[in-house]
Amino acid sequence: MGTFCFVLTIALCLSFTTEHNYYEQSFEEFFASGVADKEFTLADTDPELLNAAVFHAVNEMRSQKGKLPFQYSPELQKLVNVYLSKVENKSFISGEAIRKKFAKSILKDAKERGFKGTLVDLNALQSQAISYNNKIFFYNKKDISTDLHLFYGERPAKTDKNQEREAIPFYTYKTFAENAVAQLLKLDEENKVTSKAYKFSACVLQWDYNSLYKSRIPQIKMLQIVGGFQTDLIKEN
Amino acid sequence: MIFIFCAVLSQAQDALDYAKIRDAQELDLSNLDIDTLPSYISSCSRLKRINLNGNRKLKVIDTFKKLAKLPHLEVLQLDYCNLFFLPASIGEFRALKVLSIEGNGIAYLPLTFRDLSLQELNVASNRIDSLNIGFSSLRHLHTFNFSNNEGLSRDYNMDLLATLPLLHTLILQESKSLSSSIGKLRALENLDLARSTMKILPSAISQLLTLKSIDVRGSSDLDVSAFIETIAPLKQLRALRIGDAKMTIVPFNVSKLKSLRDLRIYRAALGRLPVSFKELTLQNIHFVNCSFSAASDFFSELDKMTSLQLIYLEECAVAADQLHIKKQIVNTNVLEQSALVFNTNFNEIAKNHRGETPVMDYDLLTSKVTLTIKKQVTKKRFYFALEPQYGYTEKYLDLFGDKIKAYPELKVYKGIQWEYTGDEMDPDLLKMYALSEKTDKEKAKKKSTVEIYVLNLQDILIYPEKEEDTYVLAFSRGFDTLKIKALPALSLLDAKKIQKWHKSKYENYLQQRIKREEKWLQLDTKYLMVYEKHEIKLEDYRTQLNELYYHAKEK
Repeated sequence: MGTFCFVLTIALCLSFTTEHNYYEQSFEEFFASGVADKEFTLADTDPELLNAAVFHAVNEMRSQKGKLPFQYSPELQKLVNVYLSKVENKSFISGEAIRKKFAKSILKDAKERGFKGTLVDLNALQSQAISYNNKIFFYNKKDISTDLHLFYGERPAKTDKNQEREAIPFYTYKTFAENAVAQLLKLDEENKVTSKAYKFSACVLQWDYNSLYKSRIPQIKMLQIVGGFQTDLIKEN
Repeated sequence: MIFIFCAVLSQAQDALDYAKIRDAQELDLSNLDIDTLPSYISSCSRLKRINLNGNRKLKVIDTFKKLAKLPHLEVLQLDYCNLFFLPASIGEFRALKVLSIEGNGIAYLPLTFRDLSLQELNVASNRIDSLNIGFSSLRHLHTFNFSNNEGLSRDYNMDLLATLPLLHTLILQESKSLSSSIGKLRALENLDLARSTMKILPSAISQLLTLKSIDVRGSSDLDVSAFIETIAPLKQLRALRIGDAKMTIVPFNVSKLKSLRDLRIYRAALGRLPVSFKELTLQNIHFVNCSFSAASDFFSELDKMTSLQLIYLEECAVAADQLHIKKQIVNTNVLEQSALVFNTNFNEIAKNHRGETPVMDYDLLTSKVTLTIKKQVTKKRFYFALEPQYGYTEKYLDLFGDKIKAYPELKVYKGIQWEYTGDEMDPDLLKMYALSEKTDKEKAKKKSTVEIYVLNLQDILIYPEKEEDTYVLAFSRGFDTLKIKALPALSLLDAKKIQKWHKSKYENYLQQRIKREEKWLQLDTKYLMVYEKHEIKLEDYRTQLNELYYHAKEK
């Protein structure tokens, strides 16, 4: 029993020591560390790393536009996790519909989780999880060289001499995040993601399980909550 | 009779001989029936203390004008002078540290009180209902005697006292009830509640963690055991004074006062000591005017207390052969001086003629402001209204409406609905009920929309609480009173626009507030000018009252 407890303690310690806190890093440090340069696959996705990669990619984009990067808010993170679980089975094709769903309660919910600001808003989008780029693709179940069995181009005819087709590759965490941010910029009509009024952010990403089916391009759903203070511009008297 | 009058007159002349007083630092002119001080008294520049106690015919305005010219006057005693009012020139006594105006029928302390830097103040046995708001400026005050006044039980007065950072001694003798706000006086070390008629003291006394001594002697209605339970948590308490003619036993629970070192028991007829008494670690015990039914046993019990060093007996009925114990006993027969000589006659006369008291022609300043807050619990919205300061005639205005003149800076937020953003509305509302002087708390709780708050306001402030992204609407009543967290309910959607709205509104608000404060300063000056004219009427009226006083005395 004693040995078991000892082993358990060591295991717990190890689990704590190996846990990354990506949000303590700046976006430069995060991307420079190379942690986001590896590919993620369906079977091997680190959700924490994915969330952090998008968070830092947003900050990189803000920095390029001359805005201060978002500060990570654990309170908003809690909220965004809860919200995602509520819309787990819904499609994010219309991000506005998701936003409207939570519009009334978002401020109250953020407060309940300890967020002090009173400006809170939400972005929702759905992004392709592989580097497909709207090219023609086909599904080949028999080819087991890739997890997804998805390949660029037309399915080869039996008469084709070259039966090999290029498999659609997975994104790296970084490239996926950059792609998602570009999409976010397009969809965010109110410029929440680039607004100076918001100082805090948290986001959560999850595979869209409905898209993981045969010939569909796998998608990842993303919820981002941004927060700020109404009284931010008032100078201290 | 004529002989006595002449004797007093010659005494007064002798005491006021210029050659004698020219270089004096202290002057005792008490009970000399002086009506006018000689004008040369103003040239006694070394004078530090002057005692004018008992000079009931003294001309008030004239006396204060002359004394105000003394640059080093630190102690002024004017007890039992039937003053009836204090002139505004009191504010010119800049060096004054000790002021005693006990038993003068004074109902109001003038606004100029705020200019003093008093350390000790005795206003006992007057008719003061509400202390002036300027009182909170007495930052150096450490001893205050407010005994036997009408406003003893007012929360407001306690709130004001709580603003004084150095106040360590508070004398509230003759209390009929005590505000629970006394718990806010966190620096208090000595509390004198002698001769109170309360049965139970407010539990808030247990919050006075710095209290070192407490005096409840002569409080014959007090449940002493319950009182000891109340003060038991006070770990700093070293001295306790209890006892009255009805007291026959030392309460058994006195042993709970573990830090007690000095116990004084007054006028008790004591039997045996409780067994638990030995658990005390007393160093001194005093018995004043006490009798003992079994003195030998009583003192031999005391003899067994190892920590006890001295036993004082003053005016106690104990035979010498009953005191054969090892402990040192100090046995004296000096009568204790009465703490207060009451001057109820003048107070009664002043009180009964209240209706005839001269009223200021120009009602420029009223210290009381009535604020009404209406709550709508369901919508979490507050509606504010107030009865403004500085003589404006409008009543119960919408605090953020367009008619507010007293606080014009609030117009900036005209028409804005403030949404409550505090953690819990109910505790905040309860706080308001507690501060209310008029509202029936139980009724107020039941209604959805009620007028709930009546108070004296020093100021109404709005300031951002940036860490919580809200505003605090602060209604000062003494120290740290009512703060409501609220945020304007805006219909704007764009975050940038919202932030800009707040910025511009608040900047505008600040500018208006500075203007208003400047205007109030001007109004204060104008008020003082009007008050000085009013003083002449008060002086005439006081002469009439004094005649009534002497008439009643002769009878």
